[in-house]
Amino acid sequence: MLEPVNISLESLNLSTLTPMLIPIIGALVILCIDLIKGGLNKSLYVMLSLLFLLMDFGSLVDFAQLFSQNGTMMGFFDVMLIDGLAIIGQLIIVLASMLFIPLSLTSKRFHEYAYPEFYALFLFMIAGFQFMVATDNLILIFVGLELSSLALYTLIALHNRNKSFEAAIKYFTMGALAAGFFSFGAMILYALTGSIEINQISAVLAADEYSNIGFVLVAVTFLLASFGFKLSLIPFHAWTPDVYEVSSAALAGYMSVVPKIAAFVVAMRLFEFLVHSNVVWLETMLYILVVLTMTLANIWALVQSDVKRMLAYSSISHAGFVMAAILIGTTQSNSALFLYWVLFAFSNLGAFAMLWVNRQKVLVAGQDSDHPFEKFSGLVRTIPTAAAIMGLFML
Amino acid sequence: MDSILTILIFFPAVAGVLGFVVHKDSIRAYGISVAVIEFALSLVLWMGYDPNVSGMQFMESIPLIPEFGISYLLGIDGISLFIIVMASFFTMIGIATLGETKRIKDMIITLLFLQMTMIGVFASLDAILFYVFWELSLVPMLYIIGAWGGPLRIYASVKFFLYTFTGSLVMLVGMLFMAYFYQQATGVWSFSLLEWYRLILPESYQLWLFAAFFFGFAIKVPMFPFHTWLPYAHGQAPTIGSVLLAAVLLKMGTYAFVRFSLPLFPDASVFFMMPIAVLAIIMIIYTAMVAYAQEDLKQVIAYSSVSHMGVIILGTFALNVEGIAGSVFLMIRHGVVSGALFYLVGVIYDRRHTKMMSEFGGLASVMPRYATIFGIMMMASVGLPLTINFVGEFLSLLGFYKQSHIMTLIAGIAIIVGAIYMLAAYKKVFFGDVTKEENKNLPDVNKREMLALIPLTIVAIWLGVYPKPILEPISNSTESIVQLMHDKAITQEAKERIPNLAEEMTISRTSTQEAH
Repeated sequence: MLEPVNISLESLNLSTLTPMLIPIIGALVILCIDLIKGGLNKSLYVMLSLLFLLMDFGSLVDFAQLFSQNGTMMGFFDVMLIDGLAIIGQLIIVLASMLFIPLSLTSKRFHEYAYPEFYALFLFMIAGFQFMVATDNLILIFVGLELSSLALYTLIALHNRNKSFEAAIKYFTMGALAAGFFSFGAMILYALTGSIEINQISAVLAADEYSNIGFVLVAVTFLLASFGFKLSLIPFHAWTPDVYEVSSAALAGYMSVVPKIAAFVVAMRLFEFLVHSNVVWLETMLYILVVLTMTLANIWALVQSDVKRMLAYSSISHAGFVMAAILIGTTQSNSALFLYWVLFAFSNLGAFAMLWVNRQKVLVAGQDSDHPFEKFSGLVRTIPTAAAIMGLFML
Repeated sequence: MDSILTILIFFPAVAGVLGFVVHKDSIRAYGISVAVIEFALSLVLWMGYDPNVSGMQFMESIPLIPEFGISYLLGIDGISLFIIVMASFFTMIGIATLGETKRIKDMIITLLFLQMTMIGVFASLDAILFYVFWELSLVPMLYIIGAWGGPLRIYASVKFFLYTFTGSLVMLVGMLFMAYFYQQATGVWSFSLLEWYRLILPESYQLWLFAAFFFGFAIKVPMFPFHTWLPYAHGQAPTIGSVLLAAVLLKMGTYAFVRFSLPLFPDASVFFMMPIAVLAIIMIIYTAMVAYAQEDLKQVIAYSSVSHMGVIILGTFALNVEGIAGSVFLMIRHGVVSGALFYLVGVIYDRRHTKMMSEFGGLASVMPRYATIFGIMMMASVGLPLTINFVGEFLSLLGFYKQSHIMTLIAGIAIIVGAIYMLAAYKKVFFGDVTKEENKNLPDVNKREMLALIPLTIVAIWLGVYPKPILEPISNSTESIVQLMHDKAITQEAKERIPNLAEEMTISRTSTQEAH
């Protein structure tokens, strides 16, 4: 016989779900509107998404106030975790999304922005990121990761050119592999410790002083590989330039900022205890990764012929810097990380948006990519303001 | 949940600003979605409201100008909660059922701004904030009447604006004096209503301040000698304008009586009770008679709405729990029924482009569904038992009965006049033979119009049969106001007139129970 389940609604603390529920409801509303009356102008969807994001932002500010009063909150069967990390991560995600979404108001007809599904997927994706950030539970992280990634693959594919299918498929296979790695790593950790909550895992591991070091090694390697894909650390970076190159510039800029901040927050939760565990090989492994990412990516960026690819490599190297901050693992480095990433979000979104401004629909003959350096030569003469702004963002 | 009131107030405004970007073909869907979200938020507010607490809830406070004690102070109690829900509900169905209008984009953005000011008025607890929203609410309405109204629209809208603006300037002077007295008494400036509640003023001051506030509120209601702007405004306003004007904007005046005049100046309220009651009764009878004499269907409803506002005032100045709770309930009811009636007139105006009753006749056979809904709403307006109006009128009159038997009797008789003109109007429009050729093929109410009318009909009957979910929070909050008034009153007469609930709690509980 099953025990009757007795859970009081208060103990669930459902309000911790509000920030995620807002974009989900928003996505459903957009789908419903499309169902009731099709063929509406995209400006409607843009503004609605913007409104929902604003509301989301408002609720997060609300939570930030609550947090400063009460400290960390748990909710919804204790899987939701609202702490400073979760709040600031979500704030950056929502803010960057609010910067991105008006770009789709372009008057040039990029057809993917005319579909209501685009905005619904976009909001679902944000909800996924928010779930990732605001939890301690490996399963919920996985769910959030998959929700957001699936939406993102589709967003890339909606561009509807041969190359964008290629990019979406490439991203999808890589992402699927990463997801597989992640679940493997999580499984091993669960087998070792009997828990899927990161703080539990670290407590159990610390209690028996990493006696099963071999298994920990395997698990961490898997997890590192999966986050390596998501964060595009070298040597898991190969997909990045290709995917960025063919997806629309605005979306590429978005991809270089928001999914990464979500992954960084998870990486921070996950690797924090590992970094402080004084296991030598682990630190060495992370150091190698970080140093390689920071240096090699910059060198590759130098030899690119396309601006977008160059920016892609530069974003890889930025990811390396942030990973370094996680590796150092002090409070100071963590706050520096967020500052760094907010600034990076502005400059990177700005740089990609400038590419977006200079986009073209059909490739000119003899040009094999969208944004070769030659296209921008002499920009300062033709459109001086644009050139100045772009220079500013690139700096 | 903490800042839900701020979200409720400013969400429509932000949506309105963003609405400028939306393409004009899609603006209707945009407006509807925003209004539906706003209504859902107001329902969330209702769910989160604790009906057992009589004080203010969802308080928010941010100092704006600390030297003068002006702050961004929000909060609601049982009285304002339902008016806010009603305001968002009416904006929602108003936008959803908006007919073919020229410049529809401007209209929807204006409506969203209007919604901001309406909710702001009912949620603010700081006098200056209240005044700001109160004045701001004039602008969208001026625009709605002036841009989409009938042939005399400019005259009507300017008259509306100047009239109410004059009244509220006098009110502003009253507020400044009130703050000055507060500063004299305590040494600090404050415009917070909750702090004003604690200040006990000498009776002579109270009388003058009461008069200043009364002037502003009475014009808005509108009370008898100041009511002349309303028929013009209603006559010229487009349907949506009349609906919102009757359903929500007029409630600002009666709400302000309950929120400001009564608790701030209890002695003056008792002093002026009889003169105001006389005015209210004149208002009931006089406007009812004027309504009977009207040729225009919309004017009938406009005057009947003024007449019912008289009952609300009468209930408010009964100064006891039954009277005030009844009048707050009547505000809700007046919103639902008058809003629905104005909407119904709009339906027929869309078809025939005339509102003259002589143009119609025998519509019941041509438009049976329309006639049925109109009939139900008219019965609700007259105050048939088991409709929403009955509960409120009963409570208001019951409350006033405790103050003066004779006047209640006169007011009760006056309500019969209401039945006469409504039934007469109904007879002229719906019964008899179809005399005009144009009326023979009028289409019945369509789906979109049903969307607005059916919920209103359900609410009108549901709250008549079972008013408890709304009445209980309202009477809880009124009890605290009445108790506050009793405690603050200084003259002997006021002490006697305003019941002391601490003693009478059990009695008044049972009498409200009976009213259910």
